[in-house]
Amino acid sequence: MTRLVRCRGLACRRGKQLVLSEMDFEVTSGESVALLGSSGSGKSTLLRVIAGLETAQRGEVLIADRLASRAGQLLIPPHRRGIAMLFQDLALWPNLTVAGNVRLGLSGLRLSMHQSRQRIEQALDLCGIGDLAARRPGTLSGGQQQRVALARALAVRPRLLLLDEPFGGLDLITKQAVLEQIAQLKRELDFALILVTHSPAEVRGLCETLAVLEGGRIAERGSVDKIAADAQSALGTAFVQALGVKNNSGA
Amino acid sequence: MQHSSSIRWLLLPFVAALVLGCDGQDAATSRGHVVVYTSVDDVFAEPICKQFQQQTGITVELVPDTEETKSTGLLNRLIAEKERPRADVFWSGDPLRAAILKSQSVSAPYDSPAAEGLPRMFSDSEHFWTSFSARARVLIYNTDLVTETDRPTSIRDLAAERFKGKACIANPLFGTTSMHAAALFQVLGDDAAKKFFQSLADNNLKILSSNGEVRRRVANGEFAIGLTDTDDVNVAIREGKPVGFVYPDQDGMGILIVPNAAVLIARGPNSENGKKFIDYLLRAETEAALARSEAAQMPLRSNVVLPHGFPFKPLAQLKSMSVAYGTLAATLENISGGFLKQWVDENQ
Amino acid sequence: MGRHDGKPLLRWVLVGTVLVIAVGPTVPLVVLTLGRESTRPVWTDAFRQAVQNTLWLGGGVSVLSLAIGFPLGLLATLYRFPAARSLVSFQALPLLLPSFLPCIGWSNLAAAKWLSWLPRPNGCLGCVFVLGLQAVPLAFFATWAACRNLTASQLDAARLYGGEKSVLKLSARACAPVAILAALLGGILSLSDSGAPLIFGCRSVDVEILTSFSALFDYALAGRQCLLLAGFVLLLVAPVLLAGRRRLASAVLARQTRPAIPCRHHVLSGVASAGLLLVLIIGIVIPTFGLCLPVLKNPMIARAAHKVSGTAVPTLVFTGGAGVIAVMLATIVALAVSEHSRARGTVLVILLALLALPPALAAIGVSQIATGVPPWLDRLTRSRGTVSLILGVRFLPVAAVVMLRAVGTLSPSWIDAARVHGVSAPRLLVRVVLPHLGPAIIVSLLLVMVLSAADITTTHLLQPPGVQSLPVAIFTVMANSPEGLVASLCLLYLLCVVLLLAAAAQLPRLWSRRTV
Repeated sequence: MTRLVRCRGLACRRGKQLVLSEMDFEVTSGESVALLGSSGSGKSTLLRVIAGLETAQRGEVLIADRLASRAGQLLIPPHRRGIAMLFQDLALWPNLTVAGNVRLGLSGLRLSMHQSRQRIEQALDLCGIGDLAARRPGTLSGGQQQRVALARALAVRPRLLLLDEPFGGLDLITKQAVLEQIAQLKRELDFALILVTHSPAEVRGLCETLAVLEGGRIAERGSVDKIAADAQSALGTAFVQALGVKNNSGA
Repeated sequence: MQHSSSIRWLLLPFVAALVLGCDGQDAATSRGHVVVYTSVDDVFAEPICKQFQQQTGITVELVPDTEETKSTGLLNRLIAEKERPRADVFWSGDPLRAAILKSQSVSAPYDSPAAEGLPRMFSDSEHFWTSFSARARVLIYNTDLVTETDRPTSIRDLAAERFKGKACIANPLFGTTSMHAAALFQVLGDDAAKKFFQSLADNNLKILSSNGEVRRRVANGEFAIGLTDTDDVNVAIREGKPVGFVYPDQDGMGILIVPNAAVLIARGPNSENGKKFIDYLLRAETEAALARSEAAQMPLRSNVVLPHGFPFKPLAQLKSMSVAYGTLAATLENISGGFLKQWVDENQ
Repeated sequence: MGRHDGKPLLRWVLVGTVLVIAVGPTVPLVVLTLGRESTRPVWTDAFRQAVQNTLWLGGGVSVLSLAIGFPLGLLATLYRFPAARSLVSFQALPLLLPSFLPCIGWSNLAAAKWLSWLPRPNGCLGCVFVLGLQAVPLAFFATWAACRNLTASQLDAARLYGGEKSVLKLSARACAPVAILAALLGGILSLSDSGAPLIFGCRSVDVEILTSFSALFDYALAGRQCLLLAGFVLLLVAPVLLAGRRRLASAVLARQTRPAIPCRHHVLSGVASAGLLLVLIIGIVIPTFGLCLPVLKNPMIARAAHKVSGTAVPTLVFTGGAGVIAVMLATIVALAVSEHSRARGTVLVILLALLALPPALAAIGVSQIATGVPPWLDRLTRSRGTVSLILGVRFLPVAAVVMLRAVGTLSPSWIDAARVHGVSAPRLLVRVVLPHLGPAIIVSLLLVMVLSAADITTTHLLQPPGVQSLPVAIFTVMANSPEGLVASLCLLYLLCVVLLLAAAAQLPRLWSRRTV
């Protein structure tokens, strides 16, 4: 398993508040990690720093062992990190069609027109929305919009997919369907995944590993069973219970 | 696709507007053009310019003025442009503006051969402007409100008890009314003129924004009498308004004659064409044309035949004020910022 | 754009450049003013009175605009009533007319004996009445736009917990900052309008400035008076804007939400409908009727149409060009300062102060610049484009307010997504940002166009020889043309503007229905 992302000693402030504090974090290729934490604990900030959308005041980010960011300096721009992201509000560009959104999302790859067209078709088919290519996001349902955002993300064939609570507002059935699709695509395309969530169902559907963010650091990390056996944090314990996993004491 | 195209087509004119906007070269700099700024009403000036264009083949680019109280005006434009003028000629509706241009070194002297027959008293002695075709300052009254026996005969009647609160004039800081104010100071002397203006204020005289407004509001009966120009009166008469007019002070100081003035702009881009235009303006035929127009302007030349039905007396039959037109501008400058401004401020 | 923007210097360079362009035309006269002594004192009793009148006038206009436009804007957004779309669209009409025209309209009405019972506006109160009605659309549309950003669920919650009173209270609190800003804008615009004060006999600073320019030819005095006026405006407006900066600046930044659907109310729907109708009747129908009374006696439509046809292209060039320039500059400023509340507030204050300056200051300044530069620069300083540029710069503040609000609806996550996918900034601007801002661009373009058309002074002083816009043509024939011709010209002008407005009202619908 190669190390895909490595964060060393990250420290990040929002105003006067220290959001990340000497944070170390790693993700290997193909791994899927659920990032848990209370509101304001820095989960989204961590994702944004990994994506290169923000830089930490201290620390380093390495992508595939290449230094990507260091102490306020952006060394590798976001679109060259092999990363895609699903945003909380999906960030679909409203005046472009579905195909247009995916096409614009390929800007960083400098593909030929033929290659772009192929990628767009593949991505839309992968997500089951080939027939929606000419529609605009505003005319689609929540689930369909999710799939468009997913298609746009997958069209660039990322090594790592970041999901920042993108499933809000979806009904249970739709959410389940989208989660299953992402899981299947992950198996097919073998990308790593970091999911910021509060939802046990989303974790169950996508992730093997939990990482709990507390006090600006990773308080604990491990598989669901490992955390169930020996939870170090209250949030970890509560989450595992919510997942319905029995701990050692049988509770 | 259809709607996008519609929107693109809708937006196209605006893009075209910007591109068209930067048309760069002032057309008047090419041969066969003359640029004329004028404070004479557009409806009167345009036909003369068209005739000149037809007869000479020289294109006239006319820039008319608004009423002075409606915008900052062409005179300021001429003064601002004086180091590199765009205009070749200024056709002024009165000699006062021409005198101001002379004092600001905007104009150049030109002794036109076409000026023969025009009385010199109305023109600049150094040929910085030449006067032709005139209006006169008259009293207009509403015939529904003022009987024949009651009608005014002098501008002093603006201060008469019977017209208390029912008389109006245009703002004396602007236009021909300012010229009239300066003329009164010259003719009556400072003290008498000030007393006269004070009497107007005591009689609740109303100061309006323009001669046109004087005409309108006397015609509609808001005021009984007003002081305005003959071309304003003629417009009201032609429209069938219930107005009459009087040549004031024919037994006294006389009426103020307000001639047009043709001014050659110094360093104009088409000076030669400018001179040709001035020559055209100063002809007897032009005076005749202006007499026939809706302005009904009075020729300064006594031998110009007036059209049938001309509403005003020929100049020779009118007693005019003895005004030194060349020094009116200086007189106005003295009173504008001082007494006159204060008078307007206190009584508006 | 975006939270991680590593180019603050570029932002300030852009904003600085735009402000220099905005202030630039006024510089020559300001330099002249400061460098030359006027023989006449500035601070006379008359000027003090004029300043007082002007501040009362500006304040009165703002208050009237707010008092009428604000509640009507709320009601028009929240409640359904017959002919809502038309009534709302036509509220823009008062903005489209130069203030002289309604003034003359009211004067003509007073002349008609059978209408002598109609009160005639007079003095400073008359000016407040006429100019205030013209400024009502600003407060109205600002309120309307802000109210549309309230969500259905917010209004439902208010209705549930406090009834219609709560709904109105919630909406009023949400929309008040923007409405106040718009009303202030209207008040400031009225400060540089000498038309109504001259006609109704109210001595305002702008009348004093006009006197200094056109009667005294004392540029130094006029310049000092202009600077004093701008100073007073800054002194009065800046504290309001700076104190309410956060609220104003964030209210100007609209958030992307799902608008509430108007509902029917047995009383308030009727009030909205009646109020809008009344404003139209008093603000437009009556003075327009007065303006056009002479047409009934002496229609000269054919002659007027001939005049219009000769002036249509220049009018479109001047105003369309002004709109394009104002919108371009306003969009640049809005994008540059959208995420910095202090910068937003500061830019707003400077632009609003500039708006208070009389148009002659910039126009004459440009004329002087033009004489001093080589002839090959005439394309920039003496062309139709010059008129467009100066008009555009003059009404940049108006476009800036609209664009600031529109830029606020851009979601930061769009920028983030673009960065993640390597979409370059120019490409994002062209493919996403500008299309999204489309409706606001069109609104500000049209707003600047109509305001530019009404700016007689700038156009008159700068238009090239042989070229004339329709409003200037109206004013050059106004003095001694037959009343029927003037009235016919005004009628045709109004008709053109109404057609433009009707076409513009269709654009948002076309825009939202467009497909690739």
